[in-house]
Amino acid sequence: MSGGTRGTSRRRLRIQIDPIRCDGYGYCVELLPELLSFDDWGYPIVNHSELGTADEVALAKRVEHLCPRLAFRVLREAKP
Amino acid sequence: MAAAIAIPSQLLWYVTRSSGLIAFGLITAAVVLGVLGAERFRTIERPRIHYAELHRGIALFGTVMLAVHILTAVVDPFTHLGWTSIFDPFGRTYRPLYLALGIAAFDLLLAVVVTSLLRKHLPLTLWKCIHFVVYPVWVAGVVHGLGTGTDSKFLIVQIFYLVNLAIVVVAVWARVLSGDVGSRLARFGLGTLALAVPALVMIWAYRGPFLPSWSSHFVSSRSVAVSTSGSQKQVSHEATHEGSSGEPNDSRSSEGGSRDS
Ligand code: SF4
Repeated sequence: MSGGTRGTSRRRLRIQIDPIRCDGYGYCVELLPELLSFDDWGYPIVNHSELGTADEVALAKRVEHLCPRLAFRVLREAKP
Repeated sequence: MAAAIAIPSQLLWYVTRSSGLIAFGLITAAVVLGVLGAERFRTIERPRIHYAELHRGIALFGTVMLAVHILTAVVDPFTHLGWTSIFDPFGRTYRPLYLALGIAAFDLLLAVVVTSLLRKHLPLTLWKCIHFVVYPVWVAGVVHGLGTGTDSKFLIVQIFYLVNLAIVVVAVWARVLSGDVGSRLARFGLGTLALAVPALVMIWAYRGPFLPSWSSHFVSSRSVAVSTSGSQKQVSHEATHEGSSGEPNDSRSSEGGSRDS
């Protein structure tokens, strides 16, 4: 990981769900309804993976902390 | 001068006792939320992540209370505990078995808390296995509280323990019956354990700590050790602490105990 600036402007954060681990507890969909939705079996579908606002980032971090299966991750990737 | 020292010590002792009970209540609440949290609240309007956050918040608060409980006990000069006793369950003189259970339970709980705070960075199964340690830790906490606590003879405290035990049993059964847990055999085993262990604890409690004569056991068995070490302080400490619980009965029974030995 490049140890660049701390500001989020240089980096994009995005979310990733490991579908094999996920047990459909739905915490993530509850907090991020703008990005995720439930499929017919109650599992999350990622509609948008990029976190735009600081609020979204904060919510995603909350989910990452509490996802019972550690399936939900916030990943950072350098801006191309 | 003597009075000036005695008053804060008395206060410490009150804080130790009350924070122990509060910590137990909070940890019970956290356990119940954790047990039921895995049960999915499909019908409840509230986002379920709030229950997960409540579970974490209450668990951390309970841990802080436990820290208060332990620190006040260690700082209290009458207890002769010393700082190392926080991590060393062995070699305590005051009700050694029940104190050791409490110390071991706290150390294990600390492992649970630390791994939970670092959860993101750990393998899921490791975190989960360590988390299951909470069940024996909680039972050890009950036995420690009943066995060490000088308040176990009061009806209100007994009801408090009984209610806490009952709530956890109901929660575990609710989860077991929901079919969330592994195989049917595992569920049967867990359900039986969840009934047998509290039942055993209760039988023990009614034959031991719930009796008014419970504290006299320790005085009689301990006064031998005290007389060999030649420390009169510890005897007076026991008398002060037992006396401070406001049970005149107690000091009489401890006198009887000392005479026996
Ligand atoms: S919180 Fe985790 S386990 Fe629950 S639905 Fe989202 S990704 Fe899956």
